[in-house]
Amino acid sequence: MSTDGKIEALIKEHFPWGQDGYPARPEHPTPEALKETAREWIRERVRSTGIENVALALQARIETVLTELERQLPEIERPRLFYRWDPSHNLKSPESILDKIARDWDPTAATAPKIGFDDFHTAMDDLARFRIVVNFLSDAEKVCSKLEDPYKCSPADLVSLSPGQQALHREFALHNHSLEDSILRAPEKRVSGERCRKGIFSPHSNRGLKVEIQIQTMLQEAWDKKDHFLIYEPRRRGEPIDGADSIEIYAMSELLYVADLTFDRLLDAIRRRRGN
Amino acid sequence: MRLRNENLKTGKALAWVDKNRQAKTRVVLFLVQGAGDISALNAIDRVCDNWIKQQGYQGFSWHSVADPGQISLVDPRLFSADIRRFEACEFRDLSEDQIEILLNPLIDRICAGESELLPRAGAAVGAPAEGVQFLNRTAETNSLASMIRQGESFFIRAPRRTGKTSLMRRLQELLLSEFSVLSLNLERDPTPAEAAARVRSTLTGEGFQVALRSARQDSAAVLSGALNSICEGSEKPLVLFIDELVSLFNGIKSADPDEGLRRAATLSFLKALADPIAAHEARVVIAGSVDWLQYLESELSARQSDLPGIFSRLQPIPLKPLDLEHPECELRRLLMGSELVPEAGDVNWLAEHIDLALPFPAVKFLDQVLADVKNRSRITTQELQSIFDLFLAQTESFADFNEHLNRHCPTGSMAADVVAGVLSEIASHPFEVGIENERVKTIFARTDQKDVVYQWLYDTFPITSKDGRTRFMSHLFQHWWNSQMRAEVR
Repeated sequence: MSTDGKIEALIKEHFPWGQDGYPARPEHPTPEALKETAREWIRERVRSTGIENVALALQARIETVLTELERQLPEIERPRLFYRWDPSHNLKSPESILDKIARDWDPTAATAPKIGFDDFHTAMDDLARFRIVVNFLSDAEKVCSKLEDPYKCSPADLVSLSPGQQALHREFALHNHSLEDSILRAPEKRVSGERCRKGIFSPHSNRGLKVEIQIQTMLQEAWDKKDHFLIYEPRRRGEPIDGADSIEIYAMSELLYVADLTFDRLLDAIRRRRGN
Repeated sequence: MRLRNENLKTGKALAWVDKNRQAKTRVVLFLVQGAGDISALNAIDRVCDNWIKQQGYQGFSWHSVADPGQISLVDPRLFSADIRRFEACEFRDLSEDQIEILLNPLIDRICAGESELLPRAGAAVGAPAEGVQFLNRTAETNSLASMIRQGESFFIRAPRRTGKTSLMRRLQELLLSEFSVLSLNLERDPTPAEAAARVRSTLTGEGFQVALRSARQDSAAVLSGALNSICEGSEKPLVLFIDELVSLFNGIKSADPDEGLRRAATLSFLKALADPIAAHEARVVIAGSVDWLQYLESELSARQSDLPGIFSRLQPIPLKPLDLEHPECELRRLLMGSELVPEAGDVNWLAEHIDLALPFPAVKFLDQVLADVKNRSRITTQELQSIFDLFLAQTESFADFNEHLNRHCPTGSMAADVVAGVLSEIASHPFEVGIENERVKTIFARTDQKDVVYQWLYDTFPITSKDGRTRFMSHLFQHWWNSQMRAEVR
């Protein structure tokens, strides 16, 4: 069954039509009308959680930390691009939410989906997300370490951290106290060419609302955007993917990783020659 | 108190693109610092969305913004120059009702294509308040406009700097589509010849100096001729707005020491106005800080019944201080418009010391605060108090009240002392409490013409009677009055 077919079945069978807080089944329940009503309800539900504002608040806090870090760069490097925000896709779309609920559901098992319509906003880790795109591989390491430090250090050492790090720690929790690392993941554990660092943050005032942040180099992001269009989206639509294409796109990720390593080595060599 | 931090980068933008003219866009950006802003952002979302939906406005959308300088990455139709920034924390301790009062008019103004979204301290100092600077006198302007529509003329009386000229400008805007509107500022043209030349110059396009040459020959003929021509040349009835009529009487006085000649010149000028007004069913609205009738009686022994036409029956309408429904929100609107962000303790301090009942001195004070904050980047509540004390000692914003008390009290200096005593007694009580009306009457019992003086007190000073008690309508006036009456010398 294609993803679209699964979504249609999911909405028809498991969307709580007419229950408290849910819309009534449309008068003419065509698959498209059902889908549109469900999408609209999801959009409103996501909005009502305020998750987008939680993501903004987290972004503002992280912005302070990044600015502090940027100021620590050698003076000659300060004008260079250190990081930028990827402004797209802050909020998961209703289509992606339906897609994710359907993906984890087996329509033949006659059971409810693992993620339900009543709790998807707390069950999903990436309902809101944003990406920090850095220039060099070592920039990514610096950013990650700066973000993880407040959650790894002892309470007594917190005071030695920067004001931005302390404010981040005061206002947000980092799930698992660390950022997941798919940059240095071993080949035998790798299921795709994706390379990035990911972390899930929640405000202390509402631990159920989770925001995913991703940290990638520009080359890793470039690969991700191409993979999304060439492989991920067609696969999601149920189109067949040529095995050779998969192999080639995976290899491109490895190639770009090597390029990142080379650029980093060059940066390091130039810095040493300059004496900083 | 501090300046808004416009260097913050992250924020939530409410963008508006005019559906009819795609090039016209506005962005209101709520800047965010951290988790403390989440509730305020949620409330701002709800309030704005409800109002946009309720009013059926089109073209609004929300965007997350990581860098306001690159807002066109979010939507290529948006430009960073169109951004109006606020900090979300400015809304942090407000209820949704209060946020509505602050933001709904702002959204209305965006949709109306207005460039100024909020009043600001610097903009209203030294000139009549217009547009968004004109603070809420909707009920009064509507009532006066409807009197004019019914054919009435009147005299708006209030001390200087209480908003008469601004109110007249607002009335002119309101009536422009129904009436032919002519405005005469006699502070600028304080002789009959200059006033006549101004009207003629407005009518014909003739240069003022050329018109003045003719007017000096026969000002009454030029004035009435020009007014007749204006009325005859328009299908709409004329409303003549005259500001500071007493300035013209003073102009006549300084030109001619002889009382008989002065009286003749004054009556001739009024007749040159009254005849065309009567002939064409025009209306006249006069505004002044000094009661011109009282002035004519004391200076020229002319009673109102001696005056020509409409002037013999013109009724005074006292302009009371602004009685705002949401004084704290109006003050916050002004702070927001002035890029001032109150910090802990500031709002309470402001609520106890200033308000917009008398907008001019309050705006003048905030302009001073703004200048100090710009110099020092941040001031404490204690520093605010010091600026306030200096302001009270030096301001001339209330000088006209002293002028009225010392020179225009109806029955002279004895009554003026009694009025000053009443004001001091009110000022010695907490603002919300005031004193009992009966107490005021008891103090006035020993005064000649007690009813006249009692009414004059209410018409002239920013006081009100409510629930049997008399109290001030302006915190700022109460503090100023107390500073005027302070006995000790520091």
